[in-house]
Amino acid sequence: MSALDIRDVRKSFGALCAVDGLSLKVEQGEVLGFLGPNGAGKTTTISMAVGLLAPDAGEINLGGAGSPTTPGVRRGVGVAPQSLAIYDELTADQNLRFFGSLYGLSSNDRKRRADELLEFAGLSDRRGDRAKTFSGGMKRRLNLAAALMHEPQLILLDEPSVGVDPQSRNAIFEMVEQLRGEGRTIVYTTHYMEEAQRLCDRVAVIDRGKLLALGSVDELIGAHGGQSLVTVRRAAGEEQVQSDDPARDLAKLMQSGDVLEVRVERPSLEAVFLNLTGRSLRD
Amino acid sequence: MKAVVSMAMKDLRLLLMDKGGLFFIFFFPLMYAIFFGYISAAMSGGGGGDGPVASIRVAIVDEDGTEASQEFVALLEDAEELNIERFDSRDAAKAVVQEGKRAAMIVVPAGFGERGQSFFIGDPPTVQVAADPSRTAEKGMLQGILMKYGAQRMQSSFTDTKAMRDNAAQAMQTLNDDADTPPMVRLALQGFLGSLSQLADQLDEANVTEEDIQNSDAGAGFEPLKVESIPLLESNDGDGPEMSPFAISFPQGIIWGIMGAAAGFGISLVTERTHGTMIRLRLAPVTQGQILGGKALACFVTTIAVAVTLLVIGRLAFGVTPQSPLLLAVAIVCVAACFVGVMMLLSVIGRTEASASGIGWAALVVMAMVGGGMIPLMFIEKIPFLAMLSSVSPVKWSILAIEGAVWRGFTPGQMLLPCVVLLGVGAGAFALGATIFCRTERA
Ligand SMILES: Nc1ncnc2c1ncn2[C@@H]1O[C@H](COP(=O)(O)OP(=O)(O)O)[C@@H](O)[C@H]1O
Ligand SMILES: [Mg+2]
Repeated sequence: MSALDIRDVRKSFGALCAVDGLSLKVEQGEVLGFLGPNGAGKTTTISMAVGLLAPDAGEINLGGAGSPTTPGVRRGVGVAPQSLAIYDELTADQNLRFFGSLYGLSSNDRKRRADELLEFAGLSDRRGDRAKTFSGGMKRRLNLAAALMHEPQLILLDEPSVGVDPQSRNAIFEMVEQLRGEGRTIVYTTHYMEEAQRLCDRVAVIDRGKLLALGSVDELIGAHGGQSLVTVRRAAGEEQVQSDDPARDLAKLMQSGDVLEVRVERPSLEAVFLNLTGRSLRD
Repeated sequence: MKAVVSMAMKDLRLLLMDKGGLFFIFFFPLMYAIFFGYISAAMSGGGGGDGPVASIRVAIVDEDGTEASQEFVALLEDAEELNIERFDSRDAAKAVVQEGKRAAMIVVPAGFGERGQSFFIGDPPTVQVAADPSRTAEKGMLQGILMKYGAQRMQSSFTDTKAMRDNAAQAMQTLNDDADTPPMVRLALQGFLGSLSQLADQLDEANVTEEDIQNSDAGAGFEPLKVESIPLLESNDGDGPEMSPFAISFPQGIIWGIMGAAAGFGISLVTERTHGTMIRLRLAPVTQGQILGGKALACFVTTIAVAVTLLVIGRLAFGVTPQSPLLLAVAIVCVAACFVGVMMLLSVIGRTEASASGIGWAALVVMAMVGGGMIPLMFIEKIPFLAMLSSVSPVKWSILAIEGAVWRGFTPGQMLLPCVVLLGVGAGAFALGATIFCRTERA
């Protein structure tokens, strides 16, 4: 049973078709990257997946429990929305406890979970400060922690690292890796291919509301990345070769001796996207 | 219910952190109540002043039923300063004043006609006035107007020389019948009344007109009419020092506080939307009804807190003593419920906090304006269109309900109408607001 099953879903805003017949299965325990440029339809898809928006057509099934528009079905899902969803005037601790109360956690459970998550998000020493005094990165971490109060099995993170300093970004990566270690299913939405490459078991490439490709990073690069660049430096100078099979070509180049240094540059997801759409991921 | 309570607690906590919001909900209304209390205390001390002349709506009861009293009532009915409605009984007239529909009631008590037979013997003819204590300016004007017509009535008797002679003869008769009058007084009055008959003869000869007498100071030494203040209610002295001006300014202050709370929570629903927290509320396993219920509960609690705070301060520091604490509690609950509905409607009229706040406050200020929260109702009610608006303004009914319990001495029956209107307006506004809310937030 997949954690999230999206079938041929469509959503238009007026004349604009934001999601155009998208199908996708998220398997239990995997980290699925949802990679696409701004405006690709990622947030719209997430919103439909958790029942905030009704699709114009298609079907969504959450963990076999049914449609996410049923409030009870959403109980096992945690979402960190792209737009920060915390109360600026409340402290970090108050924010977490309030969101816990919405899920019917007992007062003891709220306290325990809030303590754990403040620690997890590296906010323990700022727990009593109002969220409005936080940096962008701290707010993002709190936004993520707030999605986890009720210990959801499926976690959807919509651009969790956007507008964040490098230190917080690393902290967020570590949080995601820890969650994966606990066996949670994670959908990680981003337009940064480095993040998808580093964190995700599989990546769904999406553009203009359509799913263009789906697979592990290696599979995607193998299928759509194009050739690797093999560079060999000798005393006489550098030699570069575009290669479909870098190992074989490198071995061939090495035969002529006097090699000082070799470099193999594999294509990235950036190249995958470029090859699939003719455009760059960065706009 | 637990979710509703946690959401309400969260909102109350947010309010406590919001200094500006607290100012508008608690401090500003208190300042308003104290400031206008002092202002109106100062104004009523210095007499009504000469404000714009509006015709005063009064109820009149003729308990005398003599020719003289009927003539006097007719004279008042013709007076352009007054808008008179006759009532058959004192109680009926009292009720319309209590309910704020008329500024005052005039009673022409039994004996008016008899006393009016003589201007010089015994007590002068008396009318009684019971005024709405919140309308001191009108009360002052009304007393002046009554004295004017009383004097006019006496003067017309003077120019009517036959009436004067009859008057003198009648007085002489009364005097002769009355054995208790001390002999010296009797003698003096007999001389005076005799000379009055002579005066009548001389006036006839000189052909003096009514104008001449009005322009002279004739009659200045007499009291042509006595205007007696009577309490509107049995339990207090009506217009006496007991009726604190703060009893009028505090209910208005409470309304401003409640409007502040309605605006604040209305805007906070918009803020939930613009700041993204609405998404989290909707993601949680709570219904839209619970989300709105949480807001409504927080608004309701704040509204009650405002009312209680102001009433306690009014009671302890400014001598505002409610006549019926029980009815006051009922009134406050109805007012709170009404403004929870208004809050709900305010929350859906703006897309951004700025527009919600702007439109919301504009709507509230209009409600307050036509409802008598700023300008006295007497001016509003002169314009039929505004009078109509005023009768649908929750502010008017809120003030009436609170005043009804604080000093108007409403019976439960009289409290019923304002409370039913408040609950009706509240329920209607809530239903409309909630419907629009659910439509915009629907998946
Ligand atoms: N509520 C909305 N009304 C109108 N257009 C919308 C709305 N939400 C999203 N869109 C449009 O749909 C497209 C997809 O948006 P979105 O799902 O937010 O993309 P992404 O999250 O991938 O950046 C964009 O062109 C966006 O402008
Ligand atoms: Mg997005």
